[in-house]
Amino acid sequence: MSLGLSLAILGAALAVFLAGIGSAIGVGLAGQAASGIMSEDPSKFGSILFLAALPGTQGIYGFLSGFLVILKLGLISGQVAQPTVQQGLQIMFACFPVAFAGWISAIHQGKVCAAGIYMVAKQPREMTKPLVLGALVETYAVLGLLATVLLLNGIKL
Amino acid sequence: MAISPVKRFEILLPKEELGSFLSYLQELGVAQIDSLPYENLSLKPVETDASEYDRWLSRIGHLLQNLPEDKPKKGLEKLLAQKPKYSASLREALLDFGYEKVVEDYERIEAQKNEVLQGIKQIEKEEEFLRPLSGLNIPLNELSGLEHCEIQMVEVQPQELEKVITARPELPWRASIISKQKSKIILMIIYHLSAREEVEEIFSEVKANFISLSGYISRAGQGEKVIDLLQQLEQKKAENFELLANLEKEMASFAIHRPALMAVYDVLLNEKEKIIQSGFTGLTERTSCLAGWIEASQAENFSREVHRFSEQIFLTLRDPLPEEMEQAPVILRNPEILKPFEVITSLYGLPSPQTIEPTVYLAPFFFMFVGLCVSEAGYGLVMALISFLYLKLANPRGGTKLFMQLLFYLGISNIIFGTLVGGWFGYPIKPLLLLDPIKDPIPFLILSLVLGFIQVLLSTFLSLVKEYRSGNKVGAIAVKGGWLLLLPSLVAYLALKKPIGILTLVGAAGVVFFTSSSRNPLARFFSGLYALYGISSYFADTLSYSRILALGLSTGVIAMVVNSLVQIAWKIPFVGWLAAVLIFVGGHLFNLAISFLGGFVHSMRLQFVEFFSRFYQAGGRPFKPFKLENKYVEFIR
Repeated sequence: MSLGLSLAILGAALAVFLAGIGSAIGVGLAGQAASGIMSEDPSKFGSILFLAALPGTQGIYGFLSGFLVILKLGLISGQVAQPTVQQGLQIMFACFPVAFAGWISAIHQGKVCAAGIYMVAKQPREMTKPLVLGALVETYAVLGLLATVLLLNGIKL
Repeated sequence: MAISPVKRFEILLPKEELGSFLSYLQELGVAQIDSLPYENLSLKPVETDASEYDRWLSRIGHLLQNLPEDKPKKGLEKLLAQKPKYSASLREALLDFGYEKVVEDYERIEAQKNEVLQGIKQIEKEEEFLRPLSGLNIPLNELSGLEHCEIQMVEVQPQELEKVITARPELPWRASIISKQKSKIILMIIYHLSAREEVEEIFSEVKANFISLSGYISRAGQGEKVIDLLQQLEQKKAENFELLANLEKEMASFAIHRPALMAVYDVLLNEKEKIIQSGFTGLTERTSCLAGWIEASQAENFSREVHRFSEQIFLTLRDPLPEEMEQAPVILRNPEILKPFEVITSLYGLPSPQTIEPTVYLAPFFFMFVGLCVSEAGYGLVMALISFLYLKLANPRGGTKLFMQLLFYLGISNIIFGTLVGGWFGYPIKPLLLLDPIKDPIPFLILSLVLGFIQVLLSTFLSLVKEYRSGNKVGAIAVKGGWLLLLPSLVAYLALKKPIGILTLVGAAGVVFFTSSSRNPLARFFSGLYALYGISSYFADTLSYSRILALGLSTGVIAMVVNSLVQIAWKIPFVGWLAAVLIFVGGHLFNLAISFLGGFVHSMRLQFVEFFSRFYQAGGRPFKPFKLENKYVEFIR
């Protein structure tokens, strides 16, 4: 296995696990808040589930970027490409936007969503407003994903 | 397609008819009652006290919460259950079945049950106390009343046992072990009264506890031992449990009253609401006066209905005065097909009276954006089917109905756009595919940005309209119109390199020379020049729509991942098909939930942040007609 291929795989791994770490922390924060609210009022489960799930999307963006790299390298079809070291580095760098933007934004989105969950506890009718606030943070993960997809698309093997 | 006009009504009627008139209004359910400026009109406010209703509501509510359903419904049946229906005019009669007695009976039994529970707890406590002493093989009444000696029970720590037993052997005292447990040992000691102080000192040194049995000694019959007492307690406990079961059965038998109580609850709820509303009315010596709002289209009907109630009513209906406009409630009026999108507008906050109502403008974009963000025809079909069935079978009302209709639309949108740019459960239908974002995302990106650019231009146009209406006609046309000229021509110039750029300059001139209203030409020029920097916000807003591509792509790729996992699972011998089916259903359901959540929230954000920010003015008071509320049952006219 060439160094180029290894570097490309490192990129895919970074995208999946950094964004995944961020989402795990974010969903963790929101989940704790949700459990706290439900200890008072278990019937709120339905309305706060979405808020608790929202910081999970970064992990999915990271995963899907990783999957795009896997597709590009042909690791599933069996016809494994042999990128040069330059190409391997290019693929790795292309994974950075989603990896880092996903990682950090998920943590902060987790905080926003946890605060939103506390808000829903007091204002049960206003459950969509904190969702929109959460989406404001998520924008940067989405842009990261977009940059990664466009960069990957531009790299020719 | 706009904010529906409202009319102000004012009503005078004889004082004694107020109560029944309010009931009548409540049944009509079209009018919102406002509080009157009592002092200006030198009216007396009506004094109201709804606390009696509150008390009954909380008592009946408690009962309804604890009562099992007479015929319990399960799963789907429960989800689709409809509220029982009653005629509104007969609702007073529903109170006649004597709910007071039912509630009081229930509460009495509940109090008995609590008493029994308390008793059981007490018995368990005693048992816990006595159980370690069950090895005491002496009748309890022989433990006291000795002439020269005293018998006592002591609890000591195991590690102190040796020290205690061997202490002061010269004194006239003896100890024997009654029970040995891990953490404590119970001793029976007997000593001569002359040695009491010394013996007690031995034990107080090791911080032992003296256990007092005096209560049990006086209670125990002749020759009864601890073990006998325990048996008695056991029997008493069993009796109590039997009693408890009987009481619980009796309480459950109240379930047959549940439907009637549900109706009573709602009747009382509405009576309470009526009392609260009557607090908004004003009184003179003989008449009462109330005022409020109705939708203008209902005016004629309302006037007829009011006069039908009584001849002795004086009603005025008029358009709101300019100074009342701020207070007027806002009713959105859109054609039936656009109504579900009012959900989105209301989520942000209703528009202020006399401003632009955005539902009609956001509807097509929201419809398209969710379709493109999810871009899965299969999921769209599932969503459309679920919401359609729910609408048909459960027959929801109000907000739930609109939301379900919205989901139905979004399902349809996904069937359309999923087929064109996505797939069916991850499998694209090649001949129908307009563009394939997984192979080449650029055309999809351009599509997203073009749609975004159109919506940004629309929001600029609406801000032109808003500014024009507010009176600044020249500024509106020159500045906002300038942007509307500048932006598309600039894009065309950059894309086509044609000398269309001259229009850009004309637009820019409008922005530069008309943004500031300053008389100083230099100040005017430079602040106008600075306003041109605002182009960055148009640029940023348009770029923000690129998220449509990212979200659309993510659904497609995850669906593909699920399908490749299914293919791998299929190859497992024997159970492969089962694993494949489970992965297919579970994976796609997960993707459906997560991508609809993302698609919905991000499309909504695009409306709220990118679209609304240029022109929308929220702050309208929602129209809340005084009507029959339903919690458990439904009243129909």
